Formats: sequence, C-alpha cells, structure tokens
Amino acid sequence: MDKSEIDKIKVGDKIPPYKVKIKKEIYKKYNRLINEINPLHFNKNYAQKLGFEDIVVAGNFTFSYIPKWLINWSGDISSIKKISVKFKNPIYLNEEIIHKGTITKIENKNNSKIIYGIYVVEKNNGKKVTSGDFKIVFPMK
Amino acid sequence: MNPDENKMNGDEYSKLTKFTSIINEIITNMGMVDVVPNEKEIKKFLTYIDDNNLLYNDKDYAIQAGFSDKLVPLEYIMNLTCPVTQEIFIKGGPELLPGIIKGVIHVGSILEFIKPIVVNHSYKIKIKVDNPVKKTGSKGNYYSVVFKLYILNENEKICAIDNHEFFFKLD
Repeated sequence: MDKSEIDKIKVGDKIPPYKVKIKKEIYKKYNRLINEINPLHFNKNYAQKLGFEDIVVAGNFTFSYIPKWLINWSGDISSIKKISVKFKNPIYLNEEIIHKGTITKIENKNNSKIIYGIYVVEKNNGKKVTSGDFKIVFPMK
Repeated sequence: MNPDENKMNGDEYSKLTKFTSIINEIITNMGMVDVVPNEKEIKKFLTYIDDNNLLYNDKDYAIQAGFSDKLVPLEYIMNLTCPVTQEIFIKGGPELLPGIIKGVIHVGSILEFIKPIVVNHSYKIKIKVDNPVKKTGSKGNYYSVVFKLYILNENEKICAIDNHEFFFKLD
C-alpha cells in the first residue's frame, strides 16, 4: 500500500474478504510438522466423544491465515503490531472460512498513522468461528 | 489468589491453589526456553498456507529489505509458543491433568509483534502466568488462565509477546 492509499483509509472501511478452505490433506501435514499431541485435532472418535462433529482444526492453524490476510492488505509485515484472536466455535476439516475486517479507529501520532480494526471469521453458513481485533501502524515520514 | 474475588468455595480454592503451585513450580524449573526457528519447517509451513512472501522465502531479498536473514512469518509465531504451553501441561503429569483439572482448551491469544524474528537464530521464551480467574457460562463454572510468553532475542530484547489464554474446568 503506498502513501496515497494509506492517506485514504478511513473509519468504516472494509478489508477485502479472504476465503480459505481448510483442506484435510494439508492439515494432516501441518499436524505432523508441529507434532500435534492433542487427539482432538487428529482423532475423530475422540473428538466425537467430546461432543464435536468431527476432528477440530487447531486454533494455531486457523490463526495462520489472519496475519497473512492483514499483511496482504497492508503490504508491509512490519506494520502489523498486534492481533488478538478468540476461538469461538470449532472449524472442521474441508470447511471453507471467510475473513472479514473493518477499520474502527484511526490515530495520527509521531509521524505514524495507527489503524485499529476488528475482524470476524465465518463459515459459509454465516456462523462466526473466530473474532478479534488488530493494530496496524504505517510510518508517514 | 483471593477466594473472595473469585467467589469460590474451599474445595475450589484448594484445587486452584494447588494448580497455581504446580504451574509456577514447572515454570520456575523450565526457566527460559531456548528456541531456534527452523528454516526447513517454516518452508514447509509456508507451502501449507500458500504464502510466498519473499521476506520469508528469499534470504537476499530479506537482507536487501534490511533484515539479517529470512523472516519468521507472523503467522508462525504461535507455533513457537504453543509447544511451550503444551510442555507445561505435560510436565504437570496426571497430578495436574486429569488430577486437578478436567481438560484444557486454548481459547485465544493476544499477539504483539515488536521486533522481527529471523530463521536459524537463537531466541529465548520467558514464561509468566496470571492467577486463574473464575468465569461462569452456559455450561457452568470454568476458569481462565493466561500464560504470557515473551520471545527474546540474543540481546534479551522482546521481539514478540503471546498472551495465550486457556479455559479449564476443575475435576
């Protein structure tokens, strides 16, 4: 994002939505990579005994797409200062999720433009699975 | 921990005191945890989430951009902190889980990104834990505990913080 685009950001602006499908094969590889030990994330019977429909995708993995999405929007990894995340409902394998964000507050301080926003991650049926907020700082020198 | 503030009975208070004592002892014994972000693992991770940002994938590009090596993606940082909290609960053994707490679930995090973290460099993770706080929801009483995980560089400067929140129920 160049300076003229940053100048135009205003409260209420939407961050372009970002859709992701959590593919089973990819998630299995991720579990192997991180040596996942919680059976909730790889054992369907265990997950169902706990009352879930299927294997629950770990929050660590679904979180991965949030910084990626925000960096794609801001264009600068160093601009991302804070992200909070609340895992509200389970995401299951092969489900599609969509990230939606809104700018809620802007401050101009110390030659920087500080952008605050909120986001939700929803399933295709509109069910919210994750939410949180973020802080992005653009130097304006 | 104050039983009045948390509105808990004697049994709950006793279990929570034990929980806090075990966790604090484990954290003290663990001290600072060494971590080296592994370039090969991160490369695999990036293919899984389909992220081809050159700062993570191309050392020359990262150096030209002012960094000392390829960056660790922000989306990977939780993969550095999660094993530490996992280790705490493993070290607690059956006395902790299922002895004192029924189960534990990671419900959220607040991540702060302060300085860049680069691959193949040594970092340390410092752990602090807040006292559990009682909460009441539709499924009864449960407790929230926040682990604060500070990723420090070789100069002991904070690069990132993960405020990692778990909910648990008492046995």
